[in-house]
Amino acid sequence: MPKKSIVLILLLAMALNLAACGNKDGSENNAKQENIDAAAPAGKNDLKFAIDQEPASLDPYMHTKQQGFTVGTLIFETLIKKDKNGEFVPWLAKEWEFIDDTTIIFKLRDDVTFHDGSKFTAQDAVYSLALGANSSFSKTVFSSIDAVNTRAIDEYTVELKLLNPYAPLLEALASFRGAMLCKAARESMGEAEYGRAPVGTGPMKLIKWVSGDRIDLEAYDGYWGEKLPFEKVSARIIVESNSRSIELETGGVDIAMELAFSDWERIEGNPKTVLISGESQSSTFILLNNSMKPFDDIRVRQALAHAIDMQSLVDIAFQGNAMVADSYYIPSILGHKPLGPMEYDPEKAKSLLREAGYADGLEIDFYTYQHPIHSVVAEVLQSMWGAVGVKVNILVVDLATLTELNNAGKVSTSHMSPAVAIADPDAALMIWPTWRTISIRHNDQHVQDLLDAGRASYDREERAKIYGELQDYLFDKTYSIPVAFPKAAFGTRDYIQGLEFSPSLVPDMTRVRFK
Amino acid sequence: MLKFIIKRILLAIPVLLGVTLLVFTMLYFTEGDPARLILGDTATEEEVEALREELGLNDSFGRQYINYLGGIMKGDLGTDYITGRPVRDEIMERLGTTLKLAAASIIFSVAIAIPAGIISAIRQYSLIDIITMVLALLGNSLPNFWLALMLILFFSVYLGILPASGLYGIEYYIMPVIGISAGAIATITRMTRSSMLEVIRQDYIRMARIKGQTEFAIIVKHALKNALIPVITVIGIQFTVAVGGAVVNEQVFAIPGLGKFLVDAIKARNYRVVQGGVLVLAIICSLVNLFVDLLYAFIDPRIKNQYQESAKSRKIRRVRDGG
Repeated sequence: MPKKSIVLILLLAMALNLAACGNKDGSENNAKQENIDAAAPAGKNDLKFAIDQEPASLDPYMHTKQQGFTVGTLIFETLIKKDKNGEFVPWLAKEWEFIDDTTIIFKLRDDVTFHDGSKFTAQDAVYSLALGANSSFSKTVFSSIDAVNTRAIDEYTVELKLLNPYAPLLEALASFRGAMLCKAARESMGEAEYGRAPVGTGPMKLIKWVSGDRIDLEAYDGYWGEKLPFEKVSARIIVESNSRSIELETGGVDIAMELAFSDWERIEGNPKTVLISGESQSSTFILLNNSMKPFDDIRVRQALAHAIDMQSLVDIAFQGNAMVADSYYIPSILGHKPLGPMEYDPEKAKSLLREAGYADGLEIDFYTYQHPIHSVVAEVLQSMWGAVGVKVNILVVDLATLTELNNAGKVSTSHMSPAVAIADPDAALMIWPTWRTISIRHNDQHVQDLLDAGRASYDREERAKIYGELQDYLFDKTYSIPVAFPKAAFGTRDYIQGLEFSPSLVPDMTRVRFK
Repeated sequence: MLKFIIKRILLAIPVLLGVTLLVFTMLYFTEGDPARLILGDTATEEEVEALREELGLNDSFGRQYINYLGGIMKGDLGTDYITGRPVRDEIMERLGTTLKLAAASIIFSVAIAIPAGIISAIRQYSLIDIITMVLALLGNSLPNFWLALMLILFFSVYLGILPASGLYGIEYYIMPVIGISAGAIATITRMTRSSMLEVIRQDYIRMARIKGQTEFAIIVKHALKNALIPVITVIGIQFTVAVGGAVVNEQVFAIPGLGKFLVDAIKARNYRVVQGGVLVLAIICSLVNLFVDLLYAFIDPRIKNQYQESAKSRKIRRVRDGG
């Protein structure tokens, strides 16, 4: 209570001061007023942000959830980072050098310490890189690392060996996936406990995690770099999206992640809050099970694609907050080639179905679960496909059941939005490798060959060409139908600056400042 | 009396065993593979299989159940598949919050509902009775979700006097308590009213009036005491509902409670958490029922006699049968 009154007195004093200014010069007053309006409450040195789900673990190699990574950006750091222009810059590594296509030498900073006071050395880096290669959560981006031969040359030099040339390597290392962990702490605590009480090198350290409620961090005094202007940072877990946006509007939190479409207008219209939106790198698509009849017939797949009025579908399902997918990943990722969507032509769809022997119509199952977007997509498709004689049975199951069916290859059609880990075409095309168990099951070696070629080339132009070819090929084959590039949004109070939209939905929280 | 309590506690053991078996069986036959859900889409079938083996999901039903029971005997509710932490710790972290909130809600409900029910009964068909009954009907039928959001919109957004979510101080309790109590208040009010109406028509009330007792004494001492038995039953039920069933309110007010925790665990096929959570709820339910039964005895000497009678008569029978 006394604290609050001090704040109030200070604010009053400021208001009086302003009024005095106003007497001298009206225009200056206006400018100042705006400035002060957008200032953080006086004396505020803590940052509160709301996340939409409780992370299962904060150990970056033990989960794949953006909420855990977002909190993790304050606790952990990576060898390299990406600056605002998209260039890779040194971070925990002072410099790095490609010896050949599969050998990279990293020289580490020697002034970095972990939250427990121990020094960050090459041993920790080697340990973390090996974790990346072996963890079933992060191996999608790190499986090319040769965990056996990667070694510490001396206390601050790491020789990273790859099993095969891997173009997305730097992108992956600069992402939240490549965090450097403390070997000694993780080994002595065990991975479950470490995920709960992580020890990193970042500017904030964890002090308390109240299950289901919040994760509290405080400034780490021994941080090597520029300290953040916050003594405390608190990540509050607010699952309900209405409650998240209301907390932001009433000033209960400074930042709210993952706002629902229905709240965007209100946050944007409120003079005290700012909406930060952009395209998420996780696109959505209609999954067709190519190992199942009738989807093994290209004519059926193309008929289904031609029967969809994609613009209407996207407008309805995403309430205008998505771009119609014109290819298999978003335009900001290397090599994106605008191709589609497939032309809306119900007559052509009907004739393709006739050719395929389904003149009398066709009946298919469409799987979905209770989800505001997926269930709308299902209903719209039911009507659009129904118009060309394809009867759609919508089967609503829960997500757990759908995941199991999907990985067992039992889902015939469905609407999916797999999370893309890093902004690289190899990761963006993560559903396409032939080893994947989800129900696309195209079994097309040519797709795999192109994916392998794209991975192995360090030449940007050559890569772009390969991925262009792959997109053309996928479009012709119509193994699945791309639907949308949805937008996502965060909200902040007006006095927050530095928070940039991140297509991975994991913004770098260390860049946040008060105005 | 002590014998009665001990007997009741012993009787709870088979009930709890039945609960564990039922929940275990239901989860065993539910579709959805925890290992796949934990590792996600990108894991290979071999990795999923390895995790399944590690979690013991490949063991036979009987073996899994016996292992689980063995753990419970030692006070171990197993490990949360997702976080890798002991389920007992996770439940305990949330139980405190949930019990506090449930207790506050029930006290609040009783404080409002019993007076409202009594007034409604003694002024039957008056304006106040009609208003109370309409409000009770609303309380029972308004969706939890809607009411909670309206409370937030009014008190936090419009008036700006209460924090919108969380549970960090006394003022944070106000809206969740109202939200959770709405249904309970309505139910308890209606029960009190109908029970009172039945009692105040009885002969002994008329007798008390003839004796010239004050109306207040008649209502409180004679009528209410007799009308309370069904009301207490309902209060007991409402308390257990508030402990395990406040899912929507927990979600809207971002409260780390047991109900939401369990629902999430079901969605994630986090078997041990579901089993442990349901077991704890069943224990709470048994204890509340026992407490309610004891309250009966406290209020009604006839029931107290019955409890003591039954123990005594059995002893007599045993002696008679030469046992």
